[in-house]
Amino acid sequence: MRIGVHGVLTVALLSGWFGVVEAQVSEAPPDSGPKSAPFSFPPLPKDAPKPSPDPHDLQGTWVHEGKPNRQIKTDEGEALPYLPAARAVVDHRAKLDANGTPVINPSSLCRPPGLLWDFELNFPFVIAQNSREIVFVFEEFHAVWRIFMEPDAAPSTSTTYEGSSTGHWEGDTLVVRTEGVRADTWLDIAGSTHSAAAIFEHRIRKSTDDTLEIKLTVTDPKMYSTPWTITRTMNWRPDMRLLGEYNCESSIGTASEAARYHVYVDKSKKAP
Amino acid sequence: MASRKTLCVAVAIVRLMLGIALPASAHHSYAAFDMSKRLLVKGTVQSFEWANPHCWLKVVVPTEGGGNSVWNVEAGTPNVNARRGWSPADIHPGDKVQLILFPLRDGSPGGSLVSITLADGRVLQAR
Repeated sequence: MRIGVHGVLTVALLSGWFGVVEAQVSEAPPDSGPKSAPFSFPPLPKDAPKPSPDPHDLQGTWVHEGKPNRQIKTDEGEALPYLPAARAVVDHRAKLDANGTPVINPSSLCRPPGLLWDFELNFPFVIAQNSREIVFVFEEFHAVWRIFMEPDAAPSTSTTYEGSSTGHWEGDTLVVRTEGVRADTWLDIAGSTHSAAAIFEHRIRKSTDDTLEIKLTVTDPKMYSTPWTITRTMNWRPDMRLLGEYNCESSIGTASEAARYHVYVDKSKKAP
Repeated sequence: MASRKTLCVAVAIVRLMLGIALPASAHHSYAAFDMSKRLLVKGTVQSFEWANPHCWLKVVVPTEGGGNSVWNVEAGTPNVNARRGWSPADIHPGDKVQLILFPLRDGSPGGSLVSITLADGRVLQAR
């Protein structure tokens, strides 16, 4: 069967070969915004196992289901009490961000994000413990926070992403003191900072049968005029106990991903 | 009746509220993306990577001149996407899809995914 020129043209026009029949890129409908604020997971199955009734047994899987805060505020709802040194860092980071040349934080290089982000973002973590040690294993970047219950066992070496932590019980509250946290970890997404001399005190307790309250006080006279405190609640989620993979397997470090990430650090190079 | 100025302020506030909604994987700056703008992009999947720290979509989109452009789209993070009902097997090369995304500021064809409508009509949220 022969198809003439007119036939080919007709087919081409009908199938959109010649030009775009309808706009392929247009402004999105007004109701197409993000649906994840506030963030929520599927409900916990009714037959899910319960946490231990022992207030000193924190073992199991927990997750922060609250909305991550771009710029954290104190429990009193106030801005962090920046000293000029901290203000300068935050303003510098904000300025570069606004210019489209943001500072790369450890997390964006797939390194552990630090003690605040470990809990702030919506990734589950598992707690395992014995009488000598309590260990938090986080899904995100598989960060590990080890709390030594025997102070002499705590390593006191150079600064690390999670710092060196020792703990003890005050009643039913686990009190953890951490020092030696790397100063390049960010306290929030906006870029609030801390010095290597900062002391982090976590007070962790079961606030209900299936919630964990984590109250963190940061004391850092080099960066903040007064200690400040934030409190977050973690929910019991045994259905997430397997933790997903979170290693940057095909991303950071490969040529294609490096090229992609130039869009964040070098506007002169286009994404592939 | 609300004045034009009042209306503009209200629209700006709504856009700001939408724009500051953080992805659960907000571990890097979103300065590269124009979070005040959302585009609807229709095209054909060239590739889909289910990879940490972010899934990536390449979508071929016809251009007005009769050619194509390839849109490079950051598409959430695997663990969070999975908890929202995504599967690595949901998207294949050749699939016709529609994307809602925050576009790159520099005008390059790319962005950060808000949601994707699959050929079978299912809508998967990345935010």
